Amino acid sequence: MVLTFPNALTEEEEMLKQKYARLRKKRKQLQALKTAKPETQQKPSSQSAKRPAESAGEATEQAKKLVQSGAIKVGSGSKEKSGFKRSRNQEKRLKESDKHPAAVGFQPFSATHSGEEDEKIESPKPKIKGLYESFVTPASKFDGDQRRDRDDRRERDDRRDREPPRKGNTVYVNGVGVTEDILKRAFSNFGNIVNINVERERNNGFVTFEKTESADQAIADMNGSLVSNVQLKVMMARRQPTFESISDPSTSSWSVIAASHSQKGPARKDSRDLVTYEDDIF
Amino acid sequence: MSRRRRESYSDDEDDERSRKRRRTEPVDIEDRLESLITRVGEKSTSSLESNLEGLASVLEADLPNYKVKIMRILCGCVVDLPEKQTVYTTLVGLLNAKNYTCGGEFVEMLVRNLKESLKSGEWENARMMVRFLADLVNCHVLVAASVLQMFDNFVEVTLEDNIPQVRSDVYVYMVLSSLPWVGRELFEKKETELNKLLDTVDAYISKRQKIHVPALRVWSVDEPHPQEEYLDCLWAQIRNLRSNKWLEKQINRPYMAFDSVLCDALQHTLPQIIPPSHNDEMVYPIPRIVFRLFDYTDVPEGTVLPGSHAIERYLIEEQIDRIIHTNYKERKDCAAALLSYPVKNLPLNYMIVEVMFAQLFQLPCAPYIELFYGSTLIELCKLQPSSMPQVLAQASEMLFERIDHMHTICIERLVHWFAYHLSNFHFRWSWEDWSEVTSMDIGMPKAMFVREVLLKCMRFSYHQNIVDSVPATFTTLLPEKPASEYKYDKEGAGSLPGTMAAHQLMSAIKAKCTPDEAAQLLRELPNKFPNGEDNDNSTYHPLKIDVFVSTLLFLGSKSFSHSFAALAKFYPNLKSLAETEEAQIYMLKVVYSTWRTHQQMMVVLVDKMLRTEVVQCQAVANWIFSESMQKDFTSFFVWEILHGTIKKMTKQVNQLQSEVDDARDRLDAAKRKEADGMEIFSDDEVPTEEMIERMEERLETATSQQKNLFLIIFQRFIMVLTEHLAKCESAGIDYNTPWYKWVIERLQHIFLQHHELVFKYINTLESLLFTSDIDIHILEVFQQFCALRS
Repeated sequence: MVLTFPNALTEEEEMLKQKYARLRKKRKQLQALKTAKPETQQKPSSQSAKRPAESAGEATEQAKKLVQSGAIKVGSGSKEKSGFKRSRNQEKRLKESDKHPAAVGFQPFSATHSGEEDEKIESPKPKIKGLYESFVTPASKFDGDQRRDRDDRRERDDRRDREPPRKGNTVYVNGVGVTEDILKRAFSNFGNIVNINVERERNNGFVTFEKTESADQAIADMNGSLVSNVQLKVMMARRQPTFESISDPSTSSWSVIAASHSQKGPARKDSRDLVTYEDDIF
Repeated sequence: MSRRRRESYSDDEDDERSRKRRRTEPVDIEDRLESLITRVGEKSTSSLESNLEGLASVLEADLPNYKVKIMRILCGCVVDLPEKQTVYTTLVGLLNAKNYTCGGEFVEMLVRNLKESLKSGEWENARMMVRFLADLVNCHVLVAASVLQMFDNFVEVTLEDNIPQVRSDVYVYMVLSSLPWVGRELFEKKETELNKLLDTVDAYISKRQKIHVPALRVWSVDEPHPQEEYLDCLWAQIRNLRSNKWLEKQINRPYMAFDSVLCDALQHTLPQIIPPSHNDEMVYPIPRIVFRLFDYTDVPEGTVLPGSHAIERYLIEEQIDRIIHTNYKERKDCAAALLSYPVKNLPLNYMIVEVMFAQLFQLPCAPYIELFYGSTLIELCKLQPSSMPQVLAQASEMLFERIDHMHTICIERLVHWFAYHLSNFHFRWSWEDWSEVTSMDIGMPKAMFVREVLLKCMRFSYHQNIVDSVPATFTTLLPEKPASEYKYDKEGAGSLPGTMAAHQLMSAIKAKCTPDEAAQLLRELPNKFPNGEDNDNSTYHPLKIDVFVSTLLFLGSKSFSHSFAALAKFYPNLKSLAETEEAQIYMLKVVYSTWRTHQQMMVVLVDKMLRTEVVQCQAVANWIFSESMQKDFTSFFVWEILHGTIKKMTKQVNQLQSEVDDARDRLDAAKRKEADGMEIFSDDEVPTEEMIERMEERLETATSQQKNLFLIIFQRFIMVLTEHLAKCESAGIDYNTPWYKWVIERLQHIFLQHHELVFKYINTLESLLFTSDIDIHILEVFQQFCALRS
């Protein structure tokens, strides 16, 4: 069962809007009649205050029906959602006629159970995205939504990354206390190593071979083995950095660098000498 | 769900709570409306048409309660989201069809805004509104004839007398840029009137002055792409559109789908919109030239780049411009928005890159900060790693090939971009392809470009790294390893008159002496030059300056911060050594001789000395044009220093100006309060007239210094250029040497980069410096500049 909040919000928001419109109308009528006494003012507000509960009741009622009759009712549910397409009057008339069956007696029930029931109706719904939802549901504003889009994208990226590629020349090594030295010793007999990158604090490292066969061999032979008292877990690295670019300083390397997720890139040998200065004098 | 439950609970609660709720609700709904309206037309699961239909119904229902708000939001969309213009015109059309008065009120509000924008000189907003109004004809909101009437009024500006050309340009541009949207309608309904309008435009276009064009050109030649003036180019594109019976293939027109609904709607007539008459305060947009980098042969097969005179090229470029304008503060969003622009069969990457470079190279100034272009191009590369880097590499190649004819300002911007880009790509580049530069004279544009790129790369990295990144053959172009130079520590220094004092000073500073103690050590030094020659000028003391400044900088050479700390600690000494302008110039010379190989250090030190007012702006300008800087005169860092100096001066003037304004305001407010018999609190400081007078005096001094600075710079330019031209003439050689190119274009650079300021002093400049008796080549630069606003 997939839970989607947006739908519930839509319903509620729609309801709020209707309520608000009705309130405004009432107030206007009242003002027009010039009966602005505090007592009368009270009336419409208390009257209208009941309305959400009533419509919640309606929703529950419908939910019950839906659950009973199965998925066929889904369509009717979403039709109600796009109700704004109806004219105001028609909508009001519909509401009016509904008012009577949805009696006060339903209230306690709706207050406690409506949530559950709603979830049941909603679950199959996301497939058909109502017109209204498509630009109302995300309650946030423009920017918030964009952020969500971006998050979605990142999520998708991550998911793609999570499946390790079957072929590649970089292996991922995990083991408590793993060092560059250990890796060099353990993996050098599988083939020429292009790059070793160790993250000490995370107890893992990446070894890139010249040939993919070496990587395959290394995984087959080294996974689970003990080297210098370190239990190694070896698998294909999720991200396969491309190192052949080092030998090719042409423009295609721009693409490779742009494509690599890591901003760091291969560690560059710094050939500078250490310069020492006298103590600070200023 | 929990929200709903809370709602239903509160139903039973006292009404104070519900009143509170009621108060916040309208705001929510207004926000909701805004979000609904601004987001329509974005990617959605349902079709644009159904979204529009739905939104129109929602808005119609809300109109009685939120009319003004809705109108305001829609008017905001007209100027803020013109990339979705047709979506909004359709929406307005649908609303008009449902509610005629509402359509009328919208048009009224938009016309009011338009008139306001025309009056206040918000030209770009005005143009968007005009375009929107024109498009409303397509949605049956406006009568074609009345939009034509507006166009006629605008084009009539071209017949006004005694107005700057930029004024008529902007009105014609508004009309022309609206025609792709409404041309077809006007052609079908009002062909003769449209033709009359176009005839007037044609006559205007052919009689326009184009003195300003050379000042704006990125390239000095028209090969391979001509650089057209923006209005000429658009006119050619419009003529093309006209010959295609006003049919274009680029604009998405959602209103077509609603034709059956819209055609029944009643149309409105626009009120008269008369352009407000010209006054001298009005500032019109500066003309542009159209930058072209690619043509159809440059793009991959399967895609078609519209020709430079196809209206589609204009429309896409305009759209890309607008996407950049909307997103320029967020490079990631900008890159994503650019790449999601829907085009069919078009080399979008190429067009994006072209527009980005067009903006970067735009003269006088790029529309947004230069770094935006670099960082956004990197984002574009990340989003499309398979194609974007290649397009950029291709563009870099092409730009390099054409660098000989590129304007110095643009070369400088290209250097900045390319070095920045390389620094994000591990400094990888196919340098071998450019090895032709290794055998060139260093003054040649291509060689200079490579050298400056390497210098700039060094600022992003370090010397050895750059040495390792380029092929060995490039050594001639590699900058020297930056190091400080200290003559009193070298062999043979014993014979110099300052060596003793320098060594004493060095040990004293190391022993953390006070500024006073340091000054004592210099007292005995004779007024000589460091090489032992006597100095006849008593206004400054070269030996003292040399010993003190070079020792101080040498001791602080570890880092920028150490140098700054050194300058800060011995500020009193520096101040007293550099009392006169000669002394300041000499001090700058000493700084330069110490840090000649470290350009960035030079830049930050001069900046620091200006900030702390150890040296004055004029002194910096005079030093740059002095003989000792001749060797580096065409180096880019020198001009970085000069522009930094001008900027500093400007900042100072602006700050004093705002202080004076602020004090005036406060005094006026206090006076008003007093007049109203209100109490004045002693703790708001009210400046006295005297204080303000003193501030104004300071402002006046600063303003005259600023003016002086410009006069010095321009005078020096005229001197060095005249000398060069005279020398060439007497030797019978071509004056147009690489040196001449760099220097004359640096002169243009000063004019363009600070155009707003220079325009203030244009009359003084004309009467004092750029008189008819100077060489025509120099005078031309000035005349072209003046033409930018005439």
